[in-house]
Amino acid sequence: MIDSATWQQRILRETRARKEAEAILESKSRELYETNRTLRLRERALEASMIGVVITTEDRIEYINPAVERITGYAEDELIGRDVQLILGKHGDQRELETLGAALRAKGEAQAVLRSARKDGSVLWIDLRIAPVASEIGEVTRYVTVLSDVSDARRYQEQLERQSNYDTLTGLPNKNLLMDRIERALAVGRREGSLVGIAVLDLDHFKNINALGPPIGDHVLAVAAERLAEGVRETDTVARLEGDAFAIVLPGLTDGGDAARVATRLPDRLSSHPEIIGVLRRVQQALATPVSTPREDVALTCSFGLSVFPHDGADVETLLGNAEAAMYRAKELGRNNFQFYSAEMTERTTERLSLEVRLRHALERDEFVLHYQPKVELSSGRITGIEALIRWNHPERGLLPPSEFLLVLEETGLIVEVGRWGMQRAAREYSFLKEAGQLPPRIAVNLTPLQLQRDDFVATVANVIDQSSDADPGIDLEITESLLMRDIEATARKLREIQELGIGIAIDDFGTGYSSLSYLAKLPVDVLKIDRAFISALATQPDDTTIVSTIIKLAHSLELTVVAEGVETEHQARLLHELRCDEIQGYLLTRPLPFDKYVRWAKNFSATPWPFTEKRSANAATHVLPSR
Amino acid sequence: MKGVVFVEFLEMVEAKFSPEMLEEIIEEAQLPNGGAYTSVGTYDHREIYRLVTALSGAAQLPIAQLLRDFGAHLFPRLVASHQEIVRSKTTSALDFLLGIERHVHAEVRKLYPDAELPSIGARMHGPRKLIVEYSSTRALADLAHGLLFGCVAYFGEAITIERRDLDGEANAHTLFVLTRADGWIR
Repeated sequence: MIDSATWQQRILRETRARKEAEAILESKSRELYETNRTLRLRERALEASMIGVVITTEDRIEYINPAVERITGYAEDELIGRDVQLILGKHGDQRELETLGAALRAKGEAQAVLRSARKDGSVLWIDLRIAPVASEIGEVTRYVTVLSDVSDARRYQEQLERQSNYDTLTGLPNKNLLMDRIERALAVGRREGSLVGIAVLDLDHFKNINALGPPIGDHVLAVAAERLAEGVRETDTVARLEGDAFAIVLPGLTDGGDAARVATRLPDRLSSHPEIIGVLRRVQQALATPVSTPREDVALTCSFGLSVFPHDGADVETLLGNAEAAMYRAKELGRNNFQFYSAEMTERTTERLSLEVRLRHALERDEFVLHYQPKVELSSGRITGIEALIRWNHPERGLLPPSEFLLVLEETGLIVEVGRWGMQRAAREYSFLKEAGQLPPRIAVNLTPLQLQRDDFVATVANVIDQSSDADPGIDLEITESLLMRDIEATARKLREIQELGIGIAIDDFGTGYSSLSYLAKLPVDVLKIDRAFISALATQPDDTTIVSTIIKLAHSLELTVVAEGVETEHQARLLHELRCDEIQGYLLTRPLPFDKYVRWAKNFSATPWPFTEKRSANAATHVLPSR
Repeated sequence: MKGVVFVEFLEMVEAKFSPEMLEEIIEEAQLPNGGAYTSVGTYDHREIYRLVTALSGAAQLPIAQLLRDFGAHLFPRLVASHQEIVRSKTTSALDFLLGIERHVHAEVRKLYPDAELPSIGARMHGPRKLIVEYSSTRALADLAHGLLFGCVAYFGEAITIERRDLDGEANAHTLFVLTRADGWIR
């Protein structure tokens, strides 16, 4: 029996313990409430989230947020307790699933894009990240998966892939689609007996345009593409092959009423294809309007090569290849024209390729040589200078003029290196001439567009001069007029720097390009060389005589020395003398000669009397000799 | 120290001695709360010493023995109120003790983040021998000893317990070697 005092103490103690327990419980409930409030806030965020969140134990789904319902189309009760495969899908890429599995086995995080399916069976692409959740003691019992529906992005990407049939810069079909269009046109051609024309075209001198800066090049290409598309018929396809090369498919052509003539490839193929010619002329016209660019207006021409199904080939590759061969021929023939394919062209194309390979080795094998052609002052018969002209000593074909290989040098960019070689060789042989006692006052070297456009151009020239032993390098650079007109500010700046090195600047082939004397006034030029085309027509075309006379007068007013190129007859020389041209160059004096032969020629020439010497003294009072 | 230990201790004193003895030692121990313990509270561990010391004086029994007896009494009581902690697949005392840090203490920490638990290192030494290393600033090796008795009794196994105090009388660092009798193949 417990005594009452003990009993009382015990009741007091238990009451006190109860009150303490209640106080502890109350504070714990407050704690719990706070925790719950935070949890509710987070749960609210989870529920509002567009991103799906799945919590799994082992591989059973324990929790999903509403986004998962929206993404998968399954309701919560259809997912809870089920295998997570229901969401991840069984037709996902096997490799992705394996990667995922491996990461999870290693208790690491994993990311994958999987192909799954919604409840309604539609394709669902999900981007998911799975992270293990470790318990307090580091045991992984749950995984949190966040997933988003990337089906739209995926669809967009697929659309882009489909769109890869189109060139992004110009919006034209690309080569893939072109091949397909040709294929279809050929199928129709075979069925209906119609012809299909394939034109391959390349913008002339596009390298020079692109040298103004890639954005300008791109702009010009885009404009060119628009104009090409305008020029063709509705049934034709214009496509961009690569760079500045385009192709046009002209399906459903007739034989021009003369199938036999086409089939037997009579020379006059042009008149057999009036439809093709019509299209090409329109395209040429469309291109002709100068394109405005931030730097300058650019005039476009192009060279076309044409092949016609079925005569020039029965399949896409052959037809495209043959059209390309014809285009190269068109370029060789001076650009801005079109050529139909002929069997010889394949041969030429093969030749061209072997030419390219050989040219790449020509420098190291020392196969280039310089020939020299003198310039003579009309009034005195004095040799004023020589022009160095490059020749290629081809191991099989012998000595080749630049017309045979210059185009390839330019297209391959080899011209830069060969041009530098030319300057170095000319400077060296100039000093040999000095030793031979046959020193002409100046030696002229031709410059190509690519050389001038290079940023290191001035440095290259300076380097050549440094290497030559002479204080006066005696070098002139001849630059074609069209080349000078490109980016006139930059060109003028470079030329002035060159001039400061003691180098003279001559304008070559004057009259064939822009012929803008006002531009000329802005440039630091010393010599003007009138193109041979004007000289050869001098005696026969009165207009040309007037032009030459005007050029000479204007050049003199700008204090330039005038040289007539391509002088072949004494009659031409006499006329030029009368027009007060300063110097002549051409076969009348001599063809370009190798170094040793030039030395002999120069000796003989100096010993021969000059027919115009007397006339010079008669005109001496009025002749304006420009200072050099 | 968790209130449950005090509550169990008071109940044990009342049952094994008498209600009067309980009130006597509570008064003798001069506890801050007058012995009004609740199992959800947390109290200064030194109070259990005061209680045991008071009991020792009143019952004329050594403190160490009282703590051991209390430990043996406490073990099945704790298991009874926390069945979820003793995992169903645990069928032997040695298994249970091997997993004590990993399972039991981990669960205790979940329930009572503020619990200050002793460090119990357990490792097998051969197939029949388990070494339990007790280490605690509370210096309650005797209580741990008693809990081990309780554990062995709970699983009903023939296991001997040897004790090696590593710090003399301090009771803060002790090794217990539990050896299972022959005939048990692990």
